[in-house]
Amino acid sequence: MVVLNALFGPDSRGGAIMSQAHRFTGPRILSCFLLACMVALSVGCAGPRKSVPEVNAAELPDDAFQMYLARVDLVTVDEAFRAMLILADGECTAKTFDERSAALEAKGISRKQWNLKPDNVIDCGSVAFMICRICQIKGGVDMHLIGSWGLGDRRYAMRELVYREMLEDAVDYQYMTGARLMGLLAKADQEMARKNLYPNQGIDLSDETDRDEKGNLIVPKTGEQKSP
Amino acid sequence: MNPNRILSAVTLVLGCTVAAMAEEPASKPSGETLRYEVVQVEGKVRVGPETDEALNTNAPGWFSPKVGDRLGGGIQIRVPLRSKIKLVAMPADPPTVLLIESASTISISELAYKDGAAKSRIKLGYGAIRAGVSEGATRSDMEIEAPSATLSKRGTDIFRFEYHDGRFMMSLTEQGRGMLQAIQNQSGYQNGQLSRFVTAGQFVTQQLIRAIDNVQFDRQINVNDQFGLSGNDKLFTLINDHGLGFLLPAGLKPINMIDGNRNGDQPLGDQENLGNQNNNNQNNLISPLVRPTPFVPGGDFGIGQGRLPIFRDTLQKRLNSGSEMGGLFFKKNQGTR
Repeated sequence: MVVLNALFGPDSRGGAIMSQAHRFTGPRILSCFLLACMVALSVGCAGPRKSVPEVNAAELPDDAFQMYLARVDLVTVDEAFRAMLILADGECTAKTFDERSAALEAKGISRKQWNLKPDNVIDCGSVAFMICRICQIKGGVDMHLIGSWGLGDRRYAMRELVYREMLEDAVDYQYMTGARLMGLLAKADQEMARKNLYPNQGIDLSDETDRDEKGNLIVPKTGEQKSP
Repeated sequence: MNPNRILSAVTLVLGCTVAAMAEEPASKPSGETLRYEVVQVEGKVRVGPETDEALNTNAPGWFSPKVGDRLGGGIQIRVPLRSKIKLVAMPADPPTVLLIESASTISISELAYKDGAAKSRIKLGYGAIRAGVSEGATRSDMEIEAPSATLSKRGTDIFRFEYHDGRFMMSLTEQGRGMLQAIQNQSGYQNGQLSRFVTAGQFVTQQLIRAIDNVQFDRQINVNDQFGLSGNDKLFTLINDHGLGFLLPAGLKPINMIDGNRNGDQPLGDQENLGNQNNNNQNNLISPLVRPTPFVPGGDFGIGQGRLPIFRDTLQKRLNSGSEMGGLFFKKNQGTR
């Protein structure tokens, strides 16, 4: 409202323009519209999270932070960046938003052009792009031709994850909730383990690994059964 | 010694022995003796009291499980990213194995032998859990409860239950045995629960459970092939033969084969003889065109039957005169096709 009043209020230049309607020609209408769009884009569509969490996430260790994410209603940019570093490296050693942002940009996981503020709520598209980079998901033709150089990068990453059933079908500018982010992290972790992107023991319970020749379930022996 | 006394003594001893055996079955230990032993673990898994809802797992009572540790009821297991834990029931009767996947939180509220069964009640806060139960001397009574759904197994091995953000998926592997009962908690419907059975190679989600109820109504009706329709399909197209109803004056209803004319003097059509047109019946398919009702030429936005007049220039003349229409549709006094 403050912006609109400054632009089109009675004492503003926009208001002076609007008052002389007979001089409101087509180019002036177009220029005002473009100015309004630029203002809206510059301030971003997302804002700070209105709810106040019960705990300060910055003070939590990584495992407790993941539990916190499952409970929080909306995820801020700073929290999402920390979650991405935990997913990518197994832990987050950066303590501030600037360090996390620099670490992600250095790895090509996030982009500086997004101009994300740490206290604003993050959108699904940005998270989807980072997940695709961490899990080395290349995507399809659109992601390669158009999304690779910035135009629609987050949108096509979102569509790719929806196609892989890692995310529910939604728009890329939708806010990311904590529960949804945890679900996405779980699926991303499975994808990383499948691709052996981090060392793991391969603990599994499936038809391929836990059945004998007759198809019976193989139950590992416990300590009592092992000792004579 | 009197043989009768010897025989009675032996009988008495045998009877006492049998009675003693019946009181305590040897294969079913009583009380809380059922445990889950850790056979594989990786990452930063933390185990603590079930009632502790604090985020920080460094508080007293929390520990990191190792291979060989035995876990009982009343505990909470938090498995973060890049972590997993595999548990086996001990004693292995029935043989049971569980795998808690990464980014999961579960609690084991009850773990005991009760009423001749190995009873386990597990609550899945979020994440995914896999389990397999083989046949044993003791029956297995396992339930896994999530905030919006409950899984109850029926002699099953290798099933998976995943819950995230209000959405769940329960599945049984291709070689799975037995079946699962998926119970979705839903208020206002059948005592607040929807239930489905899942067999080997199947899965069910919160959407599928509801879709299974509605899929019986999801079928194609070829509304363009009015000559090939029969029964209820034909009735459907006849009732919805045009989309002009909203153009009619207020208070008037669209005319169709079933509804008859506005005066109500025409009986309801027989579904089996909808194609029959006798001398006394008027062709109601073209009734909006011949009756004195406003007719808007243009696209028919109903089923799409439309009108295909042979001679466009004579169309208005025919309408004005009220004579029968030509074309590809039913004519007056036409028999059944």
